[in-house]
Amino acid sequence: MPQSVIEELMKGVGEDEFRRLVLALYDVLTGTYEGLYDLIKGFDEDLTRGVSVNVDEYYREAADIIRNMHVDTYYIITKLNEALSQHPELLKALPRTASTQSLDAVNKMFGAAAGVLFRLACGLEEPGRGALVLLAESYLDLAVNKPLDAIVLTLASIALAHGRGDVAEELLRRVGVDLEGIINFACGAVELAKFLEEHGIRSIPE
Amino acid sequence: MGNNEYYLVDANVLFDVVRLVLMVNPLFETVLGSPGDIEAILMSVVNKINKRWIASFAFLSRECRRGNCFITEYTQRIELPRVFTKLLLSGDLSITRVGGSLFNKVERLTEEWFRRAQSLFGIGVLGMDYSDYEVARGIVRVYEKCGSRPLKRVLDNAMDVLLVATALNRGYNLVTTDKRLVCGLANQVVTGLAQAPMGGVCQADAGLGVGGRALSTRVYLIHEQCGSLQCTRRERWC
Repeated sequence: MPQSVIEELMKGVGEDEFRRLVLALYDVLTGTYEGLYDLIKGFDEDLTRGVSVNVDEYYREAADIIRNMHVDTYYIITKLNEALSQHPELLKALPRTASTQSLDAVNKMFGAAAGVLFRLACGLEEPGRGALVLLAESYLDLAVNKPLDAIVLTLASIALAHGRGDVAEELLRRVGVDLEGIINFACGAVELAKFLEEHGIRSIPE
Repeated sequence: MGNNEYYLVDANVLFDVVRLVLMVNPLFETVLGSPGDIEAILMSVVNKINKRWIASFAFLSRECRRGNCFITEYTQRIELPRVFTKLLLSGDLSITRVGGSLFNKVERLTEEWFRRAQSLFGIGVLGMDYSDYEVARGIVRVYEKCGSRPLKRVLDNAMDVLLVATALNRGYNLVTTDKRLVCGLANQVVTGLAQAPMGGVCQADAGLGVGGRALSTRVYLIHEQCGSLQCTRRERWC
């Protein structure tokens, strides 16, 4: 969301410190996404140009971006909590939907996207299959709050799509992922689901 | 969580993985077919997805390598057919009347499904021996000391207690979605319930002294409330 929109939304909110902290939080998140976008774009361009890729450097950069986000958001949220304990009336200014509920919906959306990608991937041959499975796994990692693993898997997926299995493998080693293992698992799950669908089963009761 | 660890997996975790893939099928078909409806289908799918299914998928896909994840033979022979019977009774699974007993048909379908799961996931079946039962008796003894009501509650959950006992006896990590079980055993056999590094997963320690042996293992509870999950006094069996 652009900063200007956030600022408009925050106009009605009292207490300068509270407003400043919420805006700072959005700044951190925007900065993080921009940083990650640049990182992924740079990685893709390096592979397209065929220049040698320094996996260590990319991993370090991704780890730095995520670490900074964690440190900054932790600091801001602590301050926000302090501000709210002093001015509980400011809670009324927050959107009616609880933030955890919105986050749940986003996480479920990542989960749904991952499921669709697994189904797509498992109908493909290599290297498309591996690249898509990795992308789907990166969505799962986002959904379960493992952002660094998610970024590394995204980079590995791009590397595979460029036919650079060596780079993908080096990246995956950093996060302890065995490519063949997760492809087998994902496509196994798809096969098992298809087996049930062949028997007319569309869902499994809880 | 590590590379050389073994996991004893509760049947529901295994089914969660398949639940996620089944649930997204309408979305998958829309993506392939008519993208116009995608927003409505997406929202309907998202609303039906349980966060736990995502956490179960993410957990098993990372931790289960060929040969390090198991289910017990009780899970294979009792829990899996139970789910297929549920499908039958809910009308989701239809079985034509062509000879043989109903149980045989459910059993055959379950066997076929699990045979595939074994070869696709590399999941093994753990045959249970008397030492597993001895550990389960050890758990029950802990609750005998707590009184008749706790004893009844632990025996009402005999199958699940056997699962915990087998994990303890073998030193395998237990992976479950059963909050009732984990909270039931809390304070006596299970301690230190905390958030695991992965969202939607809690971890706890399980420990028991049996016949001069100190048994211990780790329990991974996959649950929507992980992050803020606490066991209440009411939920604890003792």
